[in-house]
Formats: sequence, C-alpha cells, structure tokens
Amino acid sequence: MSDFSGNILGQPMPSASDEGEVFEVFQQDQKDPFPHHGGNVRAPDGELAVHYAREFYGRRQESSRLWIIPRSALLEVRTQTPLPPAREMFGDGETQVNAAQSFAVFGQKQAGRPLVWVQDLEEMAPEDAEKVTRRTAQNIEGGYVRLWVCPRSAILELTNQDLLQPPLDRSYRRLDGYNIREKLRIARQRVQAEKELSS
Amino acid sequence: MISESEETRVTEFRDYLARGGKVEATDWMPDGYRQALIRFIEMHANSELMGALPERDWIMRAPTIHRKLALTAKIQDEVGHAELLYRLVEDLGKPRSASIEDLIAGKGKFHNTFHYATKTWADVGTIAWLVDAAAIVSQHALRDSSYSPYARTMQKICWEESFHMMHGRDMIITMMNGTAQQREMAQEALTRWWPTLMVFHGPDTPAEKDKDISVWHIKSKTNEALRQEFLNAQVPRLREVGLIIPDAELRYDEQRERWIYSEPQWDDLRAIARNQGPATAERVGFRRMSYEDGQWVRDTLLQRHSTTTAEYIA
Repeated sequence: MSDFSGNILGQPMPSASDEGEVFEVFQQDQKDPFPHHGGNVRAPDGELAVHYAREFYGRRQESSRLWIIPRSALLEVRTQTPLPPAREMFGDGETQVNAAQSFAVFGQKQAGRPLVWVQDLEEMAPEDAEKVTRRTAQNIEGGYVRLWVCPRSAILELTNQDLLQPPLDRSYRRLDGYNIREKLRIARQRVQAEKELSS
Repeated sequence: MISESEETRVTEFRDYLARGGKVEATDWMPDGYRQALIRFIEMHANSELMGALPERDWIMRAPTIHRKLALTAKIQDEVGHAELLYRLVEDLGKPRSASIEDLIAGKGKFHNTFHYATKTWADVGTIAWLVDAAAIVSQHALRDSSYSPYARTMQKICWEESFHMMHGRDMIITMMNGTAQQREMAQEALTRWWPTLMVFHGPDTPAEKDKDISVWHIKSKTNEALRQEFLNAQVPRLREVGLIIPDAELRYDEQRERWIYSEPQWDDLRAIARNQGPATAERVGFRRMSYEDGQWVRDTLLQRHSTTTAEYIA
C-alpha cells in the first residue's frame, strides 16, 4: 500500500468524477499555529479550486493561508482507526508519484477532530514517506488516529492577503456591528410605559 | 475490531455508535447508515439553498445600505452552506447534480418555512430572527453527530450564522421602536409565521422511535426538546419588545419544567412534506429556471475540466 495510486482518498467518487475533482482544503488563521482541515470543494481544476476554497473557507476573513490539495495526491495512513476502511472506495487512482520528493504530513489526534499539519518530510521515495509517516504516528505521544500524506508539490497555496483579508467594512457580519443594547433599552421602556398606562 | 460477517459488522457498528463512536468519510459504514445520512443531510442542503429564495426577493427593497449588505451576506452564507452540505452528500455516494435534479423535479424535501410566501419587509426580519433561531437550535445539537464531517461542518455553519439572528432581531426591534404602522407590520408578520415555527422541529416523536437518534446517532436531541429550547430562548425575547405571541395557551409550566402550547397545525406540515405548500410550486419553479439558466456555466466548466485533464495526460 505504498503507492499513491488507488489510495483510499485518491479514488474519484463514483459518477461525480465527470463534474470535476475533489480538493481537500486546509486553513490557517493568524492565531492557529498550523493549518487544519476545513473541508473540501469540487472544482474543474486547481485554479478554480483555489477560488472556490477562498469563497467557502476564507470569505469571512477567517483564514490567512489556505492549502488546497487534490484528493488524488493524498494517501491515508490508518493507525488506530476503530472502523475498517471503506473498501469500495479503493480503486485505480490516476496520480502516480514515483520520483523522490518532499512530503507534507497531517494527523488526526482524536476521533472527530480535524486533521492538522504535523511535519514536512525531506526528499525521499514515496514508499519511504509512508513508512516514516507510520513510524511518526507511533512515536508521537498519544499517537494519531489517522494521518494523511501528500507530496509537498501537490499543495496549492493561497496567501494573498488582498483576497483573504480585504480591507472592507464588514461590521454587518459582526455581533457588535449592531447597536442592539440601546434599542432594547428603548423597547423595554416603551413596553413598561404601556403596561403602567393600561393598569 | 469489526468482523467479516455482514450482520455482525452492522451490529458492531451500531454498538460503536451507541458508545459515542465517530465515523469519517473514509471509514466503512453499513448501507442503512449511509442512506440515513444522505436523506438527512440532503434535506438540510436543500433547505439552505431554498431558504435563500424568500430573502433574495427583498435585496433590492432593503431600506438602507447596511440592511442590504447584511441581507446579501446572509444569502451568500446560506448558499455557501448548501454547497458544503451537498459535498458531504456527494462523498456518501449521491452526486450533487442528482440532488439538484430531484429538487427541481419536486421530489426533494426542504424545511417547511421556505414553502411560504413573504409579504412584507417585516417577514425578512422575522425569518432571519426566528427561523434562524429555530435552525440554530437544531444545528447546535448536530455538532455531536456521529458522522464527523457533518458535525464539523455544523460547527463552521453555526459560527457563520451567529450574525443572522442578530441581524433579524435588530430589524424587528427597530420596527418595534418605530411608528405604530411599523409595530403593526412586525406583529402581523409574527402572527403569520408563528404556526410555521411551532411545527418547524417536527412532531413530538420519542427518541426510541426516531432512528436518526436511537440507531444512527445522527442527531442527539428529540424534536420536542429542540422546540422547548427554541421557546425557552425566544418567547421572553419576543415579549420584552412588546410582541404578542398568537397562542392563548402558551405558558411555561414550572412544575413540569416545559412550555405548554396549543396543538400545532400538523396537517399543514404533512401537506408540505408532500411538497404541497402555498409557495412550493413557485419556489421549485424558480430554482428550476435558475438551474436551466446556469447550464451554460456548467458546460463551460466541464469543458475546462476535460481540457485540463487532457493537459495532464499530454
């Protein structure tokens, strides 16, 4: 299971493949130490995937960095997963990675939590990357439930702050953008006055 | 570890869920669980998408630029949420196009409140405040869902929606502080929408009869618990600004620690479940029209996909 073809995530979902490819999205805010998994988008190609990811994972200025990774480039390493893998999702993927290169590793510490970037691996063959990832998973305290690994070169990165943190007035999106306390005071006063009047 | 016999596997899977076990998209799951998730999340996705339509009609009629910006942002959020949820459904095996085609053929289900017409600007405030409040109660409870991709999406959606309710409440309070005519308009909207809110969470089904709770742990709270939570939070808020809730029976029973209300209009909800609500045909028709109008965009993107795929191969 060391090749990146036919891996569990790389298999395009049945019948959706003609409508584009799925890209996993990792996001990072100024206060996040590392990128964490946000969700995914389906897009016709990488360029549009970056735009979609910005729209779905960055329009609320919640990200200062986005990593967009085609599923076909991801390999899932399962270590302590309580359930078996979805076997029907295995198949012949299309992305073959043969040459030695560097890899990024993401891990899930606890079931249900999002995966978070763990480390980059120096230039090595893909089969070694999987072995090293598996070893890392066991060595780190507490271990990982599952890990994802992908070639560093497969990550599309968006850090353009003009796109992610545009200098616009977004006060209408914020709770403190509404002067509701003062309005409530006036409303309560009116209701109270009406009550006194009728009694 | 889960064993090979299908029946044992399903039993073990159900035990795993009963212990609070979490499931990811790449994990094995029994078909019953997969189908239940598709049905549940697809309806949620449809509701987000259809929920944008009643509000959309009011963008051009918003009274101030601040209201227009807020309303536009809210609609953008709802459509964005639909997109995230259709992606989850897709990973479970039903393509987005199939969900949309079911929806525009009148076969898709969506929340009852979006089957009604909007008549005044006060409706926009009432929807943003109270329909969103009702939805947030449900969505908060879904953050514990056994299906982790759904639970995490709920966390994101709840965070994004935090301003929707405030925007609606601010609109209604502003109207209540305005002229007698504005107050009347706000009251009339509440009177009209209240019955739809009382059936929003569905009939009082006991947890053991609701498979989504007792077997699959997709949701964690009963319909009635959600309705009580909604009433707890919103009844005082409505009353303090002078609004009258159109239900003479509505009161809090201190002893039973629950709200008592007159029997909601379940027949109306049943008609809507058959897609026979007052504005169902118009809304589904509009969605169909915009889907057909957008065909050229999908064709162009598809072409782009095949071109870029060809480039990879070459």
